[in-house]
Amino acid sequence: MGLVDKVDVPQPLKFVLNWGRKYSLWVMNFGLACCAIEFIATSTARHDFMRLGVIPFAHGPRQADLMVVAGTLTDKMAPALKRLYDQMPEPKYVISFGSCSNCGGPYWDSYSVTKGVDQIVPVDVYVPGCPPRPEALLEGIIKLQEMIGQESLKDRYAEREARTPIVVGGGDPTRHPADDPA
Amino acid sequence: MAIAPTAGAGVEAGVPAAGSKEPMTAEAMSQHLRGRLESRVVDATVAYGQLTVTVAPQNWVAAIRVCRDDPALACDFFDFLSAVDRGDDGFEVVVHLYSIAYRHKLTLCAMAPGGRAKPVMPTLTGLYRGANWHEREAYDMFGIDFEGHPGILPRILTIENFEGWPLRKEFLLTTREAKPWPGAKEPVDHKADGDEDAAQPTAADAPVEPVDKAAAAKAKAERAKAKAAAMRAKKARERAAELGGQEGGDQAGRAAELGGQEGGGAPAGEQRDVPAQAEASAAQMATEDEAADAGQAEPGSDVIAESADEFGGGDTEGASAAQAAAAAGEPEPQTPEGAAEVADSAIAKDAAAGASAGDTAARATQDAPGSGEPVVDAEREAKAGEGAPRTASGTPGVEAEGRRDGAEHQSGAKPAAETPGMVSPTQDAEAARGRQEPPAPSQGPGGSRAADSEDDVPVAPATEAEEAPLASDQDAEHEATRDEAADDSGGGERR
Repeated sequence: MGLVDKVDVPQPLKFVLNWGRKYSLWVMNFGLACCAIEFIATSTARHDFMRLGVIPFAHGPRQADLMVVAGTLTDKMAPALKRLYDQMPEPKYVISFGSCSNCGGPYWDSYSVTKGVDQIVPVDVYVPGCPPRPEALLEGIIKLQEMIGQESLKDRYAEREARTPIVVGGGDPTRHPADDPA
Repeated sequence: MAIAPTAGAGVEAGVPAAGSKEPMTAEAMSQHLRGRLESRVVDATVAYGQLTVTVAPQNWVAAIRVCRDDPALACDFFDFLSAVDRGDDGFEVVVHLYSIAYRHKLTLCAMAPGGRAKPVMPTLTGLYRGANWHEREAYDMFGIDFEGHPGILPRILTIENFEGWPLRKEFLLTTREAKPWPGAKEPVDHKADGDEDAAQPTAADAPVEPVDKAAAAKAKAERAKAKAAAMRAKKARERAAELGGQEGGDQAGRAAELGGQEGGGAPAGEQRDVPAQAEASAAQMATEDEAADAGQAEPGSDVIAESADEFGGGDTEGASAAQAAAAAGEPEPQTPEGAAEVADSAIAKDAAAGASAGDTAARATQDAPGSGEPVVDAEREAKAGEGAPRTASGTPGVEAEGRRDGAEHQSGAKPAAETPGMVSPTQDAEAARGRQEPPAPSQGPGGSRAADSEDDVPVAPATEAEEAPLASDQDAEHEATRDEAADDSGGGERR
């Protein structure tokens, strides 16, 4: 990767670098279902996640820093998701937006739906909801930015597979609602 | 092959404008088709103004060619093709055709030869290119092969290595095998007009046996004790995580066990609070006082008293349910538990239906005579061999209803458990069952998700007698895992 994953960048420099990265998140909208509409709504004037530095509709995965998986991922689509994720340059982040991408949601027993994108790609932030409101995505983005602001890229690369995801609103979004206690 | 629909007589003189001609009525179309196809029409029905023509599979292509090319029909638009699973008879292929000029439509169907084993139909791609993907989809979903199709593979809807035909009735959803469907399986009773049957039995319909206050009070005391023990277990959890003792003997032991199974007892104690408080009405408090007068409720700490208050919701039902359980010939020491179970299950059912708690006992009797289902479940329960053989002299309604809820919980009653006020009674019922029915070896404090799903699949073939206890174990395991998960992740909020 280069220097950042071998050397622990000094704190002031790290702060500046992270500050720059977290307010310049080119996002790839992996819209798969109705959640994608909420994603689009978040990008439009009322909610406007561009004010957070999230730039929607990256030209392609190779220009994107963040992938928002919004909607129902089917087994048929899963290889495409994986491929596009692999095409994104590091450091890259994934927000799983909505119940379907978190855990399969209402399609938990379907023969064709992947029960959570985290089976395919590592997820940094889960946004629960069916669909989540745009505000929820905004909160997820802010949480992600907080995480980026504090992270060390060296550590991130080192623990690539063992990250602790952020969950908007707490709880375990990969658990089906039917399992929730009242 | 031309993409433009037909070279048929109907469109020879150029394509007529859409809707430029008067549509045929379904009856006229039926007459016309019978004239054209003669004996090749096996059946022709008109429903909701639409004609459905059944033909023999060997005439499938010819009949559809007639529909396309006949100038009076001119069905030049291939709408869609699908199939219907007709059980042992095999699969019926259905095609919808539409005439753009006439704006009328037509359905044709034919049973695919080959039965369930190897259904094969002639392809329509020679008539309509649009049939190509529809037939591929029918192949993906039903496994119907289309003879002459230019390329039924690769799979168009499913992944390449998908096994099975997902729209066939016998197709198993593996997820549901691992974890039963959490929603309601049984529809509610409906009146003739399709509305939900709101006619609830009144209190006068309740069983007429004298209410055994002593048993009720005893049951209540037992539950209060269990509750208190659960709360103690919760407090002690931080200090001694090993509280989840496996001795199931005394009540405290039971509560501790409950707490242990459910990740330390906190959820067991707390979730119970909210609904119970919500349910405690003035009437129920009165009943509770009565029970206290009966002198059976044991004096206890503040905690016990408080929890007894919170359990007020179950008392009215507890009394009659205890009666029912006793009448059903259950062994005496288990009666209070059985009563609690029945009562709590009844509450669960009741709250699910959105009725007031007071109706519960009455409601419980409702299903007994009419729908065969409670009877079946009662039989099943009897098979499960709880102890003494059941006599028919009990109140089968109460018994069956309560049991049914308990038994269904693993498969059917989850949505009920989602509304506030639901989890706790059911849980309690399950706890009672879990204790009543002996083998619960695999339930430890550390029940994980993996363990859960392992246990969901019965490894050894269960005999009939084992069936119900096994189910109850699964219930308990479900609950345990669920609560543990809650404890782990969302605990902060729920506290």
